[in-house]
Amino acid sequence: MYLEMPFAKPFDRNLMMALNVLLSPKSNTGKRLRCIIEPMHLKLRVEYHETLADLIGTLKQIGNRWGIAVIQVADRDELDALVGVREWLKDLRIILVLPDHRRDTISKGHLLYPRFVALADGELNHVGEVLEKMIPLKRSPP
Amino acid sequence: MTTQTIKTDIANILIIDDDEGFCYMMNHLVEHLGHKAISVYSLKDGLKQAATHPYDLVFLDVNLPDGNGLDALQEIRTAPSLPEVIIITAKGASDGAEIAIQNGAWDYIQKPSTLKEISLPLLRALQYREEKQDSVQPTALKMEGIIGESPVMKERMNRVVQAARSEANVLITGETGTGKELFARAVHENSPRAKNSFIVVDCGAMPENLVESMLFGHEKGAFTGASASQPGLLLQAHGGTLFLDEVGELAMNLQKAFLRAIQERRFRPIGSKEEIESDFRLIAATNRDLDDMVEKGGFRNDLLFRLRAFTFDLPPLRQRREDIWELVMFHMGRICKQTGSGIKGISPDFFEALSDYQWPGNVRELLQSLEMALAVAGDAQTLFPYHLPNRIRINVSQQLIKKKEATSQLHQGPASGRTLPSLRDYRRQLIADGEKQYLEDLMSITDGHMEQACGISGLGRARIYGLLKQYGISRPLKTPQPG
Repeated sequence: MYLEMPFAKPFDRNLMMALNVLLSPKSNTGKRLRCIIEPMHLKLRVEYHETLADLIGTLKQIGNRWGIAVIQVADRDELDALVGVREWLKDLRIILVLPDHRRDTISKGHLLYPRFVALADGELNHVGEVLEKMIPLKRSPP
Repeated sequence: MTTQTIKTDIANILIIDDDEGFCYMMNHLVEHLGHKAISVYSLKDGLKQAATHPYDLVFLDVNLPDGNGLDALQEIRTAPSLPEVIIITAKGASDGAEIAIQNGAWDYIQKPSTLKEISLPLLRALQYREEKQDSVQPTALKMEGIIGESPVMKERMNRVVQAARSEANVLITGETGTGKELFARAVHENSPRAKNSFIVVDCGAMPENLVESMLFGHEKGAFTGASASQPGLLLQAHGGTLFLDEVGELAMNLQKAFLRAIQERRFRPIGSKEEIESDFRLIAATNRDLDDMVEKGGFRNDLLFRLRAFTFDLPPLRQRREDIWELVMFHMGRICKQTGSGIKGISPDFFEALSDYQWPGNVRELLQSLEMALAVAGDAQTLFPYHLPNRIRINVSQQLIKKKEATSQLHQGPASGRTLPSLRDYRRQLIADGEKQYLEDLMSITDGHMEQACGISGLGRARIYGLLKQYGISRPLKTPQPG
């Protein structure tokens, strides 16, 4: 887990504006997502995670469970694992990037109640557009 | 979840009317129908009866010697037994009927009525109540995350059961943070569709150019960037539930297409020649006043009509303060368990501060504040007001000072050389103070974001600007985010 743009005040209201990102940095999809999310660094406190365990580790810390998450699902096994830990994800507004468009993959993805679903081989720029729309929404309530 | 109503074939009926002749006739009618009736002749006695005895049905007069029955309607409806209420008055007026029905009265009858005219709604109300009681299956309910024992929450949970058993479209309204999505999920989870998908469509977060293809799907090559065909959310919701969050944000040009889709459960993906069918159940939610939007041309009346076959209006937290303790204890237990930290004690003044605050962001704001307090408290064993976010502490302190000032002013009688203002002036001042405080809170939680402020308050921009000017409140300056 590595932190981008740390803030000076640990309990600043921006704590509520965290963006947790789970992606595979070496995959093409991960690289594309990273490029799309980087402009958000000025607006959100962004934390990148390479494994699901890293993401859950961050969410386990008090004060970190609210905010937005972009989750790139590497494969169906990881999707199963995510569904298994969905209790941790329930307070997040999730943007989900699924590995394929099989019906059962999409159905399982919806068990996480994502606000937006994109496909790894689809138009990922939409992820950035949705994030842009979500940011002002997350400012209320504080 | 249970109510205090004792299910019995013999119903208990309360008649609140100062017309003794009418009460006598009603008692006779009720007993003739095999039920029990009690008559009281004032609002005060009626409220006392409703609060202390499990009535199934209340006949409530409007013009009582000590007040207007309509003003007490909510209090009677939310009495422990959650009785049905039939308004009965000698002076029927359409606006009174509208107020009564909007506030949940079962019926509105004008005196003098024949026994037949009265007995029919009486029997219908009792039949409805019996079916409602039968429909409550406490052990089978899935109400994940919905916490509260207040009468108003119990009533909403009963409605979840009713909605879950029906296939009607549902519209959930309520301020931001009141739990609209939790209620939508509860309806889905308790319905026969529970084994299929619950699909969320966040109309507020979806860029306008994307909504149509997300909802209806598209064929490969239908537009630039459509490199593969994609099923829409309507199709993904086949057999399950489609939850349209922030439905007030749906653009007008899409409302027409969506209206047709929910009328016929058929639609055409973009670029497709064929229509496809989808058997989805629709639940929509909004924090906006859709009636007002219809009036202003921002929302289609026919779509609104379709959406609200079944409605929930979720109460703001400030209207169910008795649930705060349970909410705090439940979520503190959850957070502490998940984070592996021990449960903390709560000082009385911490809880008092939570109870005094207005919670414009409702349950969501309460939970975020609780989590902030737990984070700030660190290893401390007990939560004190000091651990709460500053804006809450400041607000509560200001409220307390104002309350003390008002109390001391009231207690200063003519003996201290001070005269009381007229009730009209006093009331006007209280309203002004309340409005000012509300606007300050509104600007604080929205960072002066006018669109959100309009959404939360239900006021138009011009009205908000006018009030800000009137009370000398400035919008917060938007400063760049650090980093």
